[in-house]
Amino acid sequence: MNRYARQERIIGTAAQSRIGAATVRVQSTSNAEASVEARYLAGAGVAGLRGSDRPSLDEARALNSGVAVQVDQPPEPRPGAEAPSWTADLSPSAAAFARGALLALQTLRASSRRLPDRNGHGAPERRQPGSAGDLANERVELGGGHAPKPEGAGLPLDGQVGARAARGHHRGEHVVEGHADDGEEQAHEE
Amino acid sequence: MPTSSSDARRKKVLVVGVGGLGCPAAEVLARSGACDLVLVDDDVVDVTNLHRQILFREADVGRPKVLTAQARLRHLAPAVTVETHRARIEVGNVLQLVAAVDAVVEGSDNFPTKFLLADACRLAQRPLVSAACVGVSGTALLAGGAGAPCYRCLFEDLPLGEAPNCATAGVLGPVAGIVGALAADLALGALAGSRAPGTLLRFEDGPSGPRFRESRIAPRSDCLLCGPRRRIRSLDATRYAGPRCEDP
Repeated sequence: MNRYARQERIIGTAAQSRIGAATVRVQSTSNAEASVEARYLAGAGVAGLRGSDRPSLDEARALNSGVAVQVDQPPEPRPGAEAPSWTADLSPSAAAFARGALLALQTLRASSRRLPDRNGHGAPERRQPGSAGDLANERVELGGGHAPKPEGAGLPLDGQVGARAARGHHRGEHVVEGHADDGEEQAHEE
Repeated sequence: MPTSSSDARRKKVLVVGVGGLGCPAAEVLARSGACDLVLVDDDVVDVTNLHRQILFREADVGRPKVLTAQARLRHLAPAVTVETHRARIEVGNVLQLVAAVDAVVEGSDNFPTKFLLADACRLAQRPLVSAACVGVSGTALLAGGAGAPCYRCLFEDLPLGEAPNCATAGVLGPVAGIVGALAADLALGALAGSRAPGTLLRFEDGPSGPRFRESRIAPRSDCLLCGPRRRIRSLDATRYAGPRCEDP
């Protein structure tokens, strides 16, 4: 089976192709978060990863040898790019993991749509074929061989499958106290 | 929570299912240094696991998940003891495994295992964090001991018919990672007494962006497992008959 099959069921094959052509920068400013972010991005099949933490990039490449990696300067802090406040309520190890995964999710969302988010995160870098900086030249093609899916059948990260499934097996009555749609909810800003 | 060498015994957390949820949960728990781990899974690493099970590497494909995860966690957190059982959770082994630990995190992808663990944890009076994730959303619920709501207070019984899982509906790796981290946080909170039983955390990457929600469930008076007229007082294998996903 195609190693990205479970992801493609959510985002579609066209979005997966865009992710597979994207070289992205690891945004995390701490090594603990960068390790998580880089591994999820590599697992998702990006073409290339740039980052400042060499061990994180090596871990990512061990997870997916098709990913070209390049050590780069640390990312500059971006205004308005703080982690969502709910992660501050988690234990330190859970918060670091969640933040790294959130940044990977943000980058995948942007890469699959070919659009950066409003903070500029995750914008795939424009490749210059044949140039010295063309990380795609190092890329090993992976996956493929599966039936293409119409683009409209899997809009990038549209949330419908998950929302239905999460409600899926409740039966009868249950009590859920408060906070469902009030101020307790916190959206991660993009 | 024991954190010093003078503690008589370090706390132990059982992680059932070393998959998309169990990998991040185990990594977070190990990195916390607050507990030792017991991993249970009977599966081997498959290439289709790698997009979300980030404890593993391409070189691990074909190897038992518990042994691969053990080696990786020992590298990440050398002070943490990681015990492994390459086995499937069943009526015959669940109570012994649950009774030997202080809390349980389950990230299995089939309802028979989820309900079996829910019942066993209630009978053994152990806190259970039950995590589930499919598509772009997931939940983590902390079910507690006596007097606290249990898993069946929210999810009464096994679903009728087929339910979607990550093999049929797909899943995004980072979403599973976030939910796994939330599950580990609930387990750490249960050990420390800082998280209330019945806490339900939900994460969803919706059309308008990621959303996090925290709520609390209450005990249900007609619950089969913890209500005043409860009927589940032992583990009966026929109660957990149902389809099991081959790829947790």
